[in-house]
Amino acid sequence: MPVGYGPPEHNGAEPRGEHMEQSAVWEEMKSYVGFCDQRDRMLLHAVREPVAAEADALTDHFYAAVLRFPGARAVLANDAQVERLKESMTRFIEEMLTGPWDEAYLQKRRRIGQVHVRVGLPDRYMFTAMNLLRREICDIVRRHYGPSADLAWDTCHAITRVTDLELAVINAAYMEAHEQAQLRSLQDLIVQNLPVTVLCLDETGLVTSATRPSSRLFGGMAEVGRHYESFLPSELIEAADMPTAVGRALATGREISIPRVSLGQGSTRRHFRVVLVPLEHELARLLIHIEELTDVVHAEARVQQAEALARIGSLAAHMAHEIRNPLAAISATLQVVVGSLPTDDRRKPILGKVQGQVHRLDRLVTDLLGYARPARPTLREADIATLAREGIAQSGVPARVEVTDAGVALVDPEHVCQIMINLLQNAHDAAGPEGVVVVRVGPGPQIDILDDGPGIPADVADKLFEPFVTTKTRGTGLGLAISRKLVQAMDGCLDLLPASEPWPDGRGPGAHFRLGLTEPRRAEASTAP
Amino acid sequence: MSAVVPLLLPIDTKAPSLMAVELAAVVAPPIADEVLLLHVSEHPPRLDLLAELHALAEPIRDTGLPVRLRMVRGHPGERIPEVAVERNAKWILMGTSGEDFREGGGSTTHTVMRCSPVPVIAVRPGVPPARSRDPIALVGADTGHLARSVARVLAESHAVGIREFNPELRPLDGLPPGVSVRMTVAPFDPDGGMGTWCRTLLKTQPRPVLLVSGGERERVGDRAG
Repeated sequence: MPVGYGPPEHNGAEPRGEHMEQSAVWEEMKSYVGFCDQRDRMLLHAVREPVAAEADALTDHFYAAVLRFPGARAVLANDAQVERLKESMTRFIEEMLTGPWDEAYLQKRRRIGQVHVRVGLPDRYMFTAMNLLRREICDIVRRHYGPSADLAWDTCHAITRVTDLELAVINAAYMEAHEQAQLRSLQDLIVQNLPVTVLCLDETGLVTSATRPSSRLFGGMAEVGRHYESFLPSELIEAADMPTAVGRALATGREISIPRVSLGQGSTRRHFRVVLVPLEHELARLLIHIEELTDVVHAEARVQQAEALARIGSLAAHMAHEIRNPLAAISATLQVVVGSLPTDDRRKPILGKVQGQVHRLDRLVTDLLGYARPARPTLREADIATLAREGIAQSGVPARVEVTDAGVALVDPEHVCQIMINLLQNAHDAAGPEGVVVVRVGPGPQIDILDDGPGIPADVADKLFEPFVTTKTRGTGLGLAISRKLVQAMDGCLDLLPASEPWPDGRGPGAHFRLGLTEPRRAEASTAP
Repeated sequence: MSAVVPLLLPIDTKAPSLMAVELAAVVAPPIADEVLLLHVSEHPPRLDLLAELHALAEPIRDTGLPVRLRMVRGHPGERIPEVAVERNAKWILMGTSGEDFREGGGSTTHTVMRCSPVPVIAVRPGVPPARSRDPIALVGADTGHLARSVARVLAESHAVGIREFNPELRPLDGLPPGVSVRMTVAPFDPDGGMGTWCRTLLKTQPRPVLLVSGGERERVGDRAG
């Protein structure tokens, strides 16, 4: 276990504690292989000259053997490099035989091991090569002392001990590199799976690291090695004024936050916050954090709209109460007056028109009160196809029904029917007597109401659900406002969808409303504490 | 609300571009609401280049004008006029080494001057003026009132006068001996061939030379009105 073999500090100095630990481990290793400084020094020093005399032949033989292996050949660039390595090896053997085998020796051997790791020499070649070296030196020793001399025997043991030490140090370098690779792999895994959109770019603008959500945000893949311009939408780069912001962040070294970047139009509009953080790292000069705010912006808009509507509703309710009583008096008086006139009285049609207008005012007052009244739904599970058919039946509007994988929803059935009636009557009014109204139920808990009328003018579409906004000459402009209020009370949504292609039969497209309801399970989850 | 009027400043990191940035800090405030620093390249932008360009634009930001950076792919001679149209730029200001204007030349600056639908000011760097009160030389202003406007902005900015030279009345072989100017401004008509005196100016003038092309041409004699 390579305890205490971490990389040295940048300034070359190491913390005292680590130094002591390394020193202790080194002594332990020497003890473990049975290396004795005094005895082995004497034995190794004694063969220094005969080994040096054969160093050229030894290194030639060594590299000839090593270069037989394709994996070893792959990391050795050319003959010149091999010649340099032979010189290094001669020094390596000289040091191995002369020592001193102290802390400095350990550090030097560690660096040699790190170089072997860095050039990518597989560790099996290192072990093989060290064995080869040991045999070659032992052969020289035996030739020097005679094959059966005790001194040759003892010296070869010393050589075995010192090469074991060499192997232990180099092996530690490989272990350390392996651990660091595992750690990097773990860090990459953690970064990739962070639930945020973060990209790191190098100085050329290429992605060096990206979280998984970064790949999903804009549909394109934020793959490592791609330039950020090749997958970030040009609309985002333009809207966020990215080149200017990136230049400023890097030139000033300060974080730049672009609080709101909006892309697209109408209901497909998306909102983002972009933060640029300059970094000082070889692999990362800039971190880009992109946060989608579309849901937040919509929620804010809904709250603001709800507050505005609440104020209008409160005012409207007050006025409705004030109007309703005199209106009732007028209506009753009119009935008395009309009833007292002879059947053929010429003034009767005129009074009939007045009654019609009074009824219209009464309907407006009723709608106003309906709008102002808090919507308190009584929720239960209901089959939405059945609800849609009930709504159609109650509205009296002839509509074509298409059902696809419709399920149940958690709704107030009365509210759904009232919404359906509003939407269907609007659709029928827009399409005209010869027009077509289609009700699509599903897939899922949604009901679409489409007509082949002229559609909603663009200047009205954005405020269509506000009270008193209508495209009809005789409408109160409260139907859709009330409908949306009822839907929101059921945790659903009611939207006008953008105009699509004409229908397959050549009709349309007119207006297309979608009533989105809540699935029972989803509703439970959203209300859970 | 009136639309923003941008000055387009195509730039790289060479000396003529640096001179163009310096000049933009003087010329842009009276004629533009913002400066669009444009870098056109065949390659995607490096981050360190963005930082470098941001730093280069410091003199313009110091004037209070907003500076925006735009990186565009393609050939500069083609893309610069296109971007000028896309961004509704009212002026293009760019540096030139002067090589473009040699006989047979025709690379980036010359192409931009020929193709641009908006006026172009091309500045060739030069040595600083000998005296701080040296005037702005205006050469051949009878054929281009834009050059006169540019000269006037420069003169006001440096609090110096304008000295006019008319090469049509007196053939120009450089400015007259002993005349010391701050910089020289001259109109340049890219469709009218390479003006001999423009090339002479570029060859003989050690001070910065500004060539101004585009805009409505002013007939000789109209100036009095």
